[in-house]
Amino acid sequence: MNINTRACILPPDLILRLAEAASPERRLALLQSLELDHSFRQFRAEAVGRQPTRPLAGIAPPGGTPSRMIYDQQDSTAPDPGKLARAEGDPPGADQAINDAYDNFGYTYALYWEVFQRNSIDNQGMTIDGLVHYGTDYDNAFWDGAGHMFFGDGDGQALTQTTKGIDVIGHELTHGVTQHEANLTYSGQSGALNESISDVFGSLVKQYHLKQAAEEADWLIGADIVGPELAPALRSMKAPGTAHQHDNQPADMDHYLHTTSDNGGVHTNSGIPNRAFYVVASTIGGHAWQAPGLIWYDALTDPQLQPAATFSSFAKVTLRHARTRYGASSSEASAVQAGWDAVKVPVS
Amino acid sequence: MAPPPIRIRFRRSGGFAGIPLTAATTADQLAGDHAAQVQRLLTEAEAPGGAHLVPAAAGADMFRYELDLDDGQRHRTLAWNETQVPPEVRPLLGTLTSLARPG
Repeated sequence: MNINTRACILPPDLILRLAEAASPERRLALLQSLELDHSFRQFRAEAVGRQPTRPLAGIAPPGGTPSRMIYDQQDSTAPDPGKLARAEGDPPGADQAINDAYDNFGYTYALYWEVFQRNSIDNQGMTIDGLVHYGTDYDNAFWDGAGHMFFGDGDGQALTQTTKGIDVIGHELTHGVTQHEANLTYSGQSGALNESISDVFGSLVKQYHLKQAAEEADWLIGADIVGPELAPALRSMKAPGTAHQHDNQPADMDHYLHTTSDNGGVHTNSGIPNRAFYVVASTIGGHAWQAPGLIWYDALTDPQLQPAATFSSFAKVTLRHARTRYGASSSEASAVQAGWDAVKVPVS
Repeated sequence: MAPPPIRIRFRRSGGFAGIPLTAATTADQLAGDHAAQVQRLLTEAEAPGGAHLVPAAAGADMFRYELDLDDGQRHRTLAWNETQVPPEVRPLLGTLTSLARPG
């Protein structure tokens, strides 16, 4: 395999493993590609981080109404939007997957606008593009980093229609929010934080829509889209590692998974900050989108939160915002401390 | 004497569910079109995803596909993120996905 200067598709860990077994010349080329890859990722992170998406202080952004565009990919795996199936304000059609995407994006927009006063993905009213019926029996939903969210129909065994999951839609849109805010690098701990934040706000979208208190919520992710192979859910924020037969999420730092797979286990180690949020929300009690959600949103949108943030550095930002918003000796700040203590992430 | 079959190790990681799938087979166990595609991926100098790796796309929850091919004399590892899979390779990856199991 010819690794050239554009070899950024390979994760750094894999490049290092390849280099160990390579000839001296090839090893040099591989290590050079790693250096360039790092530079590329850093440049990308910093470039996106500089995007002026935050409104000027004192100027309230307009908003309150989403701009949704739902496309039918008609089983194609093309990376661009297919046939426009439902635009903002259009009545429901015959396709339930399209209608579910439209509705669940609406509920997601509502949480961000009504609770956090955020106007869509970029806080500037960005159009919400949902691309439905992607691929054939496709067991996934993803954010492409360019403003599009893709949703497969599932194979009926592992996953079913993915637009049915209100938390799934909230999860994917939140990846866009994160990209426009902290832009957490999608690898290692910052990648697991990126995933966790999508689970947190995905779950909050569902709880807000159902008007559930923390003690009433199931704290499951993907419960509405799993097939028999993965029932009852994909992840449990309350009890990571217990959601289905293959679930190996850790519940604290003692069980952090060191791996090269999945960008360093971003969907695995996310169980740790997920559980921290659950503990915070259940300790405070009541509606999790209020104090717990506001503290997490404050942290996510804090310009001091770096793309390479660790669990610990994120934890410190949440604690600082809890103290700022509610007081240094407040029950909310104590709950945030308790949440990170429960998962053994150092805060001080 | 027939050449040894090409050994295939397939892995799909990432995705919203985050459950890796793996499969191991040989090219002669696959349908004709797929076997020929595997042969091309192993032997062609400009194999898609091999000689022209492109930067990983921004984004999240995308699948990542990895193919490790070996015929005893040649060995090649190929990898694509979801939006970078060449159209001519996607049917092969679909078949390998259907053979794969969590692991």
